[in-house]
Amino acid sequence: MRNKYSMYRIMVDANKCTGCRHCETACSLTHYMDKVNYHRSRVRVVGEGGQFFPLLAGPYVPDTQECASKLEIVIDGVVYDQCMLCRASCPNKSIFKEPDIGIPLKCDFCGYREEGPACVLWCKSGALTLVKLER
Amino acid sequence: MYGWQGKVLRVDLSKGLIKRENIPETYQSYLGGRGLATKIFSEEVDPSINPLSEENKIVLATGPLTGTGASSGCICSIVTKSPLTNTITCGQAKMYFGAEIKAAGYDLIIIEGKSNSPVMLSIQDENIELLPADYLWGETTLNTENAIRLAISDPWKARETRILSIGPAGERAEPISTIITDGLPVKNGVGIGAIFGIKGLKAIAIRGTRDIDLAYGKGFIEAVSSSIDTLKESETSKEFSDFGTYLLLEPLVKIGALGYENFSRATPETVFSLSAKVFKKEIWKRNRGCFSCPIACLKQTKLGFFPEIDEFISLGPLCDIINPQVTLDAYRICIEYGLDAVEIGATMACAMQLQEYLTFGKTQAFLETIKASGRGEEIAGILNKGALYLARHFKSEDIFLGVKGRSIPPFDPRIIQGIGLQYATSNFGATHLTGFTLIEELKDPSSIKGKAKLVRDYQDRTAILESMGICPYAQFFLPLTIFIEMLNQATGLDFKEEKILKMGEDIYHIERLFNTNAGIKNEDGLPPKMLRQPVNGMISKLDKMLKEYYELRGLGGEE
Repeated sequence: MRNKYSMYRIMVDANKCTGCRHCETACSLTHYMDKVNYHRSRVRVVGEGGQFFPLLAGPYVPDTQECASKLEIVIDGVVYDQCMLCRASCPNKSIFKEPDIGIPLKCDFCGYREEGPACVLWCKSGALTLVKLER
Repeated sequence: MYGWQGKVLRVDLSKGLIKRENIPETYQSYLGGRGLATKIFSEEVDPSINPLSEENKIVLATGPLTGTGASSGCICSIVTKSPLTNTITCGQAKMYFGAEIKAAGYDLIIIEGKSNSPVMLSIQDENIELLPADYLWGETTLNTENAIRLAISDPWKARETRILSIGPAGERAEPISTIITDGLPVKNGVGIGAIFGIKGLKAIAIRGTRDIDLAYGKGFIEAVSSSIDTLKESETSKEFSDFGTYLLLEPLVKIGALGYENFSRATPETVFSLSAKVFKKEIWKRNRGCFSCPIACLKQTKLGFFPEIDEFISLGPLCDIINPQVTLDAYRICIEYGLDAVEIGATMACAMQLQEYLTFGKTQAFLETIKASGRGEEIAGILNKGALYLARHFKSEDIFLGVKGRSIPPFDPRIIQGIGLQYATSNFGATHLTGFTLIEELKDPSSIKGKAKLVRDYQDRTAILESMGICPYAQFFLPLTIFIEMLNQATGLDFKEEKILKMGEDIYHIERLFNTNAGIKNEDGLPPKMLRQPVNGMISKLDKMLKEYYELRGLGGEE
């Protein structure tokens, strides 16, 4: 299924997200098997400006001094807090941290699974889709 | 213990005492949610009490599948004795509240006693506090949610906090008040807001970080995945996601089953201008789903939610308002002040028919009256006690269309026979929500053949789904077996369909027995108008269906 020259990515379409957070439970169940806890999830749905944004946990950012994400973005008259929509696991945020030991969490595409990541499988609205980039 | 958290939180508002208890041993016979809450409530509360007295309790209960990620597993049932109907009642809090109770490590919250000053119950896992809420008293529900969230310094934690609150109508303990969570009214919640208000409980704010342990995670994932695949393949489920409950609008208008001008006239052609496709194009911004719901039938507008079809018709055609924008404004006022949209719509329609204060179709007066009634101005004294009170006040009781003190939802039982039987036999007064037979009945609305069995099956299935913690709308697209499979995988127990349906029947009988002991006897009926005065040449043939229904239920005619 996967050839050498292609790469998989999860495409996020925030306009389709219904805010049901099924992806969060899917992630937590897949990574911990028998436990459901959205705090253990590597994808979180954030409501901002009347809209929902699924955030896939990105790389850990240890030093936030020069962080350029503390801006407010205005789109069509609606103000969005860019920090809320940033997907980095960062020391200033209380999300994307393993609740028991506090280490940062990062999306790992659920390992190499034939069927693809769990959050994409459970997202019926079409907000999360798996796309194949080829070159 | 898998699926369940095994803990009950008991809050005594009189003494300010908070206790953590183990879940009662009977939990496996009633699962949780509506079933377990009804069982506990009927054991602990004397049926004959005045609903607004200190002895009344509120039981908030989640089911074993609430918050586990089971498809549509978002329901928190709220059981209490309603001041509107004097019967037991059960509301369903949707959105994220139920899931957050489970995440905090509880299955049930029992609220008893009465506080002298306004309080707010704050729950953060094991840290439970009763905080003074004087500064919130008198605020609208949206302001309350914002104020509570603003007080939390961490913006992520503030977003994770889920709030259940009452508006000013609930604070005044008015029988038609309801509760709001995340800007959405609690379904079937009419009357419950008054109990919160009389107890001085303005809001419950909850945030949890605990795990829910499942017995067989792998099997559970497979069961949920198969339910999502079923939904993806089904055309009707796609339509339901697109149009929500408005899927019913066109067929209902076509057969003339919408209550127009308080059911006094047949539906005129102007109502045909209301169309779900137009709403979708012009008003709806996006679909909204409650916690872990792949269907996502709720609709969001620029500002807050769009009403569901029953609320829309009550605040629309029932009062001769054929303008979705006005209905939407009215609905927003209802949410802010914590009024039940169906009951206030029906009450105002009665007032309009009597030509008291209001007349049909006058939008300005309509909106101003709702606002005045929310604020508690003079008119609220008459309107906010429900349509029956209003009809009695003006000495014309025949104008009240309802069962057990609660107005019938705006679907005409003369055109759709089965729903009439559901209104008559519901334990919570006239409601379609405990036996939503409408979709199935559209094929053959006027026949009464097999309707008794249909109503009974829907009532039992709804009761059991609400006990599991599943939204009853899911039953239109997914078979019960798929949820039993999820339940078995999550809890590690072995439930069979037959046993599960028996539980549903048990729940119905417990509720009915509570009502009988509360003095509600021989009140299974429909308003005389529905039985005698035909619309399009049809009347409700309730008597025949009722007889068949009693036989099925094993109730010897009248008790």
